[in-house]
Amino acid sequence: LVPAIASKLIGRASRLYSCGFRYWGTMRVLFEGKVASVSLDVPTLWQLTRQIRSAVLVRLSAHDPNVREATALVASELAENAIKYGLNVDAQEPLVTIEVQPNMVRIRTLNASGEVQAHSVLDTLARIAHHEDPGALYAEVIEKGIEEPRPGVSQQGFYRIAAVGGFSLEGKWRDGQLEIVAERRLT
Amino acid sequence: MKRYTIGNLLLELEDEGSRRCVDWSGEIDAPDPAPSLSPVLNELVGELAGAYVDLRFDKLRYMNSASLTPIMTFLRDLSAVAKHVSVQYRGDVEWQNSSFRAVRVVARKWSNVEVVGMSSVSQD
Repeated sequence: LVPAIASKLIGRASRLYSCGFRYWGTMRVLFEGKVASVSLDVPTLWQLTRQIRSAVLVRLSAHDPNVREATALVASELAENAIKYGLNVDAQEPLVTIEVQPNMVRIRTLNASGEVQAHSVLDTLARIAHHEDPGALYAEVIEKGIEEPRPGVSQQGFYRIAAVGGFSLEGKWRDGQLEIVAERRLT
Repeated sequence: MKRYTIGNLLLELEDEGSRRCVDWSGEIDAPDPAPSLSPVLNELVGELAGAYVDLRFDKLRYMNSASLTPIMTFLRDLSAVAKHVSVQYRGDVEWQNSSFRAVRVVARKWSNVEVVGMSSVSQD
């Protein structure tokens, strides 16, 4: 008797399960059928810069606000430069790497802007490194930008990184890529 | 009050006594802000001609390097038609302080423009 009852129960359960499965399957199809329009926003590449700033401000929330904002600004400027002039679609490494240690912030980016552009950037970085007052140099570049606007040529972002962000800049051209490292000591 | 929205940037033009005030808030981060920003700023130059003007940047959260040239061009054009222009920023916020220090150096040649660091955000 017991096996017979058990068998009946198992059979009923299995039918219920299979019926339920079919019912659920139908519901799912109907539900999916009702969702006639699907919306998906894929952000532009440029919006990455906004995401970088936002991520830095969140991840560095325990740091001094000035350091936090300067880091967001510098990471954003370096990413902007790489996206505008030298995005490497085959890159195996991140667009921007931000490393924060107790005494230092280091931001590194890789830029595949081509050799001529890369050497022009290296000249700019050397000019900034050898100038004793990055703020005065930045003002000079802004003034020139008003008199002779040359978007994309002025490289104002690098002058800004030094003058406003308070970061030093170094660059290296190797294997067809320009590596730029911005560093700020923390006191 | 007149409002202009350009991407994430909001400009609000309001009269306060004898002064005309333009509040800048939000962010300017377009790769090339000039095509969207300059037409609005040119309209503002016309609106503000002959006025005592306050340009308040203290609520601006971010501006990229590409935005400075259109802003400075606006300031130059405004200085040519306005009676007086006061550029106000957050002196206690490092990025604003350093940015507007450079603006002050450039603006020295426009005698009716002053660039002033404030210690807190202006009231709404």
